[in-house]
Order: sequence, then C-alpha cells, then structure tokens
Amino acid sequence: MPLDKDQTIRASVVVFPATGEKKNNHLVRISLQRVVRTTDPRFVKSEWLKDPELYQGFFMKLSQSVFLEGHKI
Amino acid sequence: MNPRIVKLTVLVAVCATFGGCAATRSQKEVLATDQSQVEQRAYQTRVFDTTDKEQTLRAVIATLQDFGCIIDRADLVLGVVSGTKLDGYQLRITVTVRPRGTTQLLVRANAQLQIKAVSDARPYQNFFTALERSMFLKAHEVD
Repeated sequence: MPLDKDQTIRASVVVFPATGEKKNNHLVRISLQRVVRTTDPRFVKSEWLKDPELYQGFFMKLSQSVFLEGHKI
Repeated sequence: MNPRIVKLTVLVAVCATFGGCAATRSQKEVLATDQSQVEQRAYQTRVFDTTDKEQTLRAVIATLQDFGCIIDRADLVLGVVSGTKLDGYQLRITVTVRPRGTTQLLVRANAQLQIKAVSDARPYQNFFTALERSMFLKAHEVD
C-alpha cells in the first residue's frame, strides 16, 4: 500500500462587486482541490476539497487581512 | 554474424517500423473527431436572450464552481472561461461567450475527461441547465 508523499493544493478565488443596496460590497468565492502524490508514482490521488473548515479558515484569514490592509497596519 | 544478434536486430527494426507507423497515424488523428461538427455544435451550444456578456461570464464562472471546478483563466474581452475539476479524474472545460446578432449571446462549452473529449450530450445538458438556473438567479438576485 503506497503512502502519501506530498501534495499540491489548487485554489481559485473569484471576486466580484455586489449589486443592489450593497453596492460597495464584494463577493468572494474560493474553490479548493488537491493532488496527492504517493510513494508509488503510479498512484496519484486528486480530489475536490469539501471540508467547510478549510473554507472558514480561509475566510477568517482573509477578513483579518482585509482589516489590516484597510487600517494600513 | 551471430544468429541471435541478427534475430534481435530484425526484432528491433520491426518494432521501430510499427512503432513509427503508430506514431505517424496518431499524429494524423490529432484533429479527427468521431462526430460531425454540426452534431457537436448542437449539444455544446446554447443561446441566451441577453446581451450582458459580463453577467453571463460571471454566471458561467459560478456554475463551474458549483460543479467543483477551479477557474484556470477568465477573459472578458475574448469571452472565455476555462476550469478544471479534479475528483479522482481530471475534467477540463472551456466555455466561450460571444454575441449572436444584436439581442442574444451564444454560449459554447467544450469538455475533456482525462485525455478524451466529452462527446456525450448529457453532461453538456446538465451544465446548461445549471447555467440557466444561475442566469435566472442572477437576474433576480436574492440577498
């Protein structure tokens, strides 16, 4: 049974302006995938990451980052 | 000359010849398809009664994300969005949006699963059904 060796995370982030009343807001959407290489090069796993925690983690960091940038810290 | 060496040389020559033929044949089939262009266009294309290219491209992006795709590139000027889905397999899809007359937009999707073009109409139907829904939601955005 081959063991997981390393992985590549693929992410795409789409940002677009909101419409209507919240015109100054922006909507952000991220999608995550990963490719896992194992000790046997014939076996490579690829999957769509669906764990909500990963996405929550990203948005928490993004919120903090936007705050820091906004306050020029 | 050693008969074993002669045999081996002949074997190598035969393999090289057939291998060469296979390579030449596969090169010639680079642009080959198993369906007519008209058939392909029929299930890969839909027309929408809108001229808002940007909103349509945004709906395409959102729909691809709904299917679990990573957006590899998007270009408003050319009207093209490409995405990849990895989920035990690799699905690559490119969607183009261009004007059709003065009141409509033409949307065409091309997908490739692993190294083979997707020539079954159903996945495209599913994509367009989801896109239609997304366009409807876009038109009547719920906060």
